Amino acid sequence: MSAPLLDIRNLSIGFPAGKGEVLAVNDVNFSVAPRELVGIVGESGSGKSVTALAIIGLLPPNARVSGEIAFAGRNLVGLPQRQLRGLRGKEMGMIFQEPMTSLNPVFTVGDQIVEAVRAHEHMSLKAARDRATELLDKVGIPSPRRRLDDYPHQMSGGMRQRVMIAIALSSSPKLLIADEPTTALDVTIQAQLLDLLNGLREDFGTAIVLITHNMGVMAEIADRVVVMYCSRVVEEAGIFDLFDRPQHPYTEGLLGSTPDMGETAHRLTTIRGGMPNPADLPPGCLFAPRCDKAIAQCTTAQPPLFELGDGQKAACILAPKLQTEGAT
Amino acid sequence: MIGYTISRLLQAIPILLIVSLIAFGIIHLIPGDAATVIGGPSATPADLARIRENLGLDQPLHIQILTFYANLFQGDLGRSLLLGIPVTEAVLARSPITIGIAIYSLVLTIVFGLATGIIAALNHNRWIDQAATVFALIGVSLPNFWLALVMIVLFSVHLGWLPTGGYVPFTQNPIGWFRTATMPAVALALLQAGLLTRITRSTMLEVLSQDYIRTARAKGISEWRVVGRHALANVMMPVVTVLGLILSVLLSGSIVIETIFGIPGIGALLGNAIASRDYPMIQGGLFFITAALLLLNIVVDVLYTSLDPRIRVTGGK
Repeated sequence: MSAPLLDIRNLSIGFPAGKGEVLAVNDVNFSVAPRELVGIVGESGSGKSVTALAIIGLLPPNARVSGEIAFAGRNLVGLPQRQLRGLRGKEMGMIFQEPMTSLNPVFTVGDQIVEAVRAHEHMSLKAARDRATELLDKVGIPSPRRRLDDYPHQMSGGMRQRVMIAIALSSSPKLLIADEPTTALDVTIQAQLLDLLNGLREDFGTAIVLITHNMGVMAEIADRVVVMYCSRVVEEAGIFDLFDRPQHPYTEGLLGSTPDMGETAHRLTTIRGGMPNPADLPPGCLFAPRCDKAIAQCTTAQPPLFELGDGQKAACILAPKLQTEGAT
Repeated sequence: MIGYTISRLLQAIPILLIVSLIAFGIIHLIPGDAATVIGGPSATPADLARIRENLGLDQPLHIQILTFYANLFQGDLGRSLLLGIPVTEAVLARSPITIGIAIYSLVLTIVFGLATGIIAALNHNRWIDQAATVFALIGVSLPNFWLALVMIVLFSVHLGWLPTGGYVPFTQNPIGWFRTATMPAVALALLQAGLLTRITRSTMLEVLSQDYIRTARAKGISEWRVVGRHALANVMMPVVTVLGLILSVLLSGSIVIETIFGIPGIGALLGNAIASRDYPMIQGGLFFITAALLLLNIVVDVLYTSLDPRIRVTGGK
């Protein structure tokens, strides 16, 4: 495997809450190779969006970050805003969940793309407009030249998300972070956008970190998946291993609660209960209170992320692979 | 856009007539009349009756107002009882003075109010923010006539920096104009600036938390550009909305302020007219101020539609 483009080591992010601090991200490790598409799944509040904002350096100022976010060999944690700004929009782009509110309502979309194009590259307004037209064409917007002068409210949600992608791609970034890019859109539009993202990966050679809570979306385009639960990584695996041999009961639960058209109809399984209050975490495995397989040992110590071979890792002392290896 | 402007102008006409009617009613509620002022203390009842007859004040009220309307449609606002010149002429002669000070005050309001509001929002919950909030509260709470008097005591009487009053036309001596217009303009501006600071601050805070601001930051453009372009363009809309309100307070405040500083503008003209029961002058002066305010509000609304593309489309081009 080539040197990773993005290498996250022991990343923890805390926010002040009352007198203490609540960890939104707790000792997270994962890496993304060039051109790779890594998915991060987890429930709302699992820390996936905070991780994404940390990578692009847009965390609120009161966030306390420790650990390392190495991007193309450079650690971004603690880097001054001015240098982070030089990376943002140039080396990495980001698209957000809410296309309806992510574009400035008082400027034309052309204006907003041109701004992104010219943010990191000196070029004439005309050249930038040509580039913007080209980008709109690439993201599949018909008659792009005419659309440049549209205001965001004249476009549908799917169109606006395409504009957002065009902005994110304006200077051919090495890394694209997509935070639930399709959640707010119709299912048909979702599929089109996923296709688009996948195609762009080949055209631009961009690595993508895709954040979603939708396992179906993952199955469609991810190479590798990081499963987050309650601020921690609980499992990491290649897409096939993850679907065929999930090692963490939480992953199993997530897969079980995804509707499957291939099999005869059966009740969807759900994961009982909800995530623990981050300000009042149980001792031991954070998932133990909701886990059907939990044994006494689970509630005493937080399990580490075990290496299980083939790049698969899981933070569960009962991981099936761990059992078989332990036996031999 | 043009259709919209024309329809707004047409709507203003009935408003003007109704306001005139209300003003007329209020004027005649004031005890005493012009005849007693003109006749003086030595006038006999017979003299007063003659004066009233001359001025048409002996007519029933409904005849008087209908006469006013009839003359109005011929472009005639009557003749000032005291000054003996047409009301239109008196108003047109005085209005540049008031307009000049109003513009000066408006510029102070916008520059100061916007800047303070933006700085406060950018330093949310820090001491600068709190200082700005306190300043805004003081500005909103202080009566402007009191402030005017305090400024005269401080800057004119004690420090001797500025004259206590009077007026020098700008065309005659710009520096003299600034010396005489600054205190009235500041006295008028402070309350408005306080109001504008509050609105700008809260709007800016709201705008800064919007998704499109995060998008702008994700582009890697400078924070200056994020705030000065992306945020400000959205903050301007509510600010322009309150401009109409601010202008109306500026004009009504000018009556008191011009009287305090002895500035011969419309405010002072109207103040004197009220004191001497100069009915046509009061009626005409109010008519002009109302017309000016209506016009300014229409300008503000048209400006608003050009700032917000979403309204532009629904409002019709």
